[in-house]
Amino acid sequence: MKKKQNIEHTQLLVLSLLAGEDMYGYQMIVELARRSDRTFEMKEGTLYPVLHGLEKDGYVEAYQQEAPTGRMRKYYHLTRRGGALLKTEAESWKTYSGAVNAVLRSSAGLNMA
Amino acid sequence: MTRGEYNARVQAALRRVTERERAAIRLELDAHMEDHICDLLDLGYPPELAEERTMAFMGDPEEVGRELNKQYPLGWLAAKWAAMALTAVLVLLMLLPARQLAGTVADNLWNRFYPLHQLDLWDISFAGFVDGEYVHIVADTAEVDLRQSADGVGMRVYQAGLEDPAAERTTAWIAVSIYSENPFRNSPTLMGELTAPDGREVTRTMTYSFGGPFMVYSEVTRGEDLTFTYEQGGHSFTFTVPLPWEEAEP
Repeated sequence: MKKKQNIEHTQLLVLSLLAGEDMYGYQMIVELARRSDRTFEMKEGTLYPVLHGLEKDGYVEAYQQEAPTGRMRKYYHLTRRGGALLKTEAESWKTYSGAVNAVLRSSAGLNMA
Repeated sequence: MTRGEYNARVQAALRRVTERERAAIRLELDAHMEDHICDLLDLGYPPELAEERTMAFMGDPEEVGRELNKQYPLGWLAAKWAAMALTAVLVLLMLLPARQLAGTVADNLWNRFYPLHQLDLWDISFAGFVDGEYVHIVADTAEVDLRQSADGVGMRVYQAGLEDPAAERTTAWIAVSIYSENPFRNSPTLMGELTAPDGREVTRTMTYSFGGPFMVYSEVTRGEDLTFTYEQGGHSFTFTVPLPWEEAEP
């Protein structure tokens, strides 16, 4: 169960990253670490099953593009369907995190300043 | 662990991917690891340590392979295999007429020029073991070469044999082949009628290959030849076949 939740969170984070621009895998890892102040440092290989699953389900699409170094890179692009999923999931996450925060705030002895 | 070894272990866990998907996964992971190693080299890491750290960041290759595998449904690969099997069947069906034609040509040519290859009276006439040795029903055979043809259908008598060449009365066996003179035409069917002009009973065996040859046998009296008629499709072939009788003791 814990693993499933992790993957779901990773899906949400990946979709969120791709909402800004098309990215390749390593770029997503670097960007995720930077934006989360290194809170989200995942085992990098596990990103690819998530990306390929999103691609299979039509939430992202991939294309090849040559990098300045000459190496071909596989970029991922958020589809319209992926954008819709991101919107739904982001709303769910806000509701969920808001509820957790509310519980924590109401707990005796906790300072949620 | 090197980049190559990491990728090999991921690849080993992939079961449901096509060759193209497998190659794409290998290239994508390799590019990722190369990017990471380059970044660490820029930070001053020595090459070996940069690669080692990158592998540590990548995580367990078997787990990555297993999780990737789950993203490729078995149904897709099964559909691919089914399509390949269907293609193979279609190709075979297309090749079947060619194979049948080759068989027709081969049968016609063998039956016309070398029917012994198809059926040898001696070889098929084993009676079984007697005193530890195989014995033949047909004790002696002789090669003959009698041919007739009509409207593109040819018939050839190529062997004659006797069960007991020294007996006063015994069974004669005749090997006969039938064929189309045009080797590309279907071999004649073997539904003809066998008779003897003198009214004796003559019998034929079943054919031993498509389009002939087959055997004719009948009771004969010492010294005589065997004459039989084979009628098929409005054509009549009559052969008088000399038999290999042993010379009588003086």
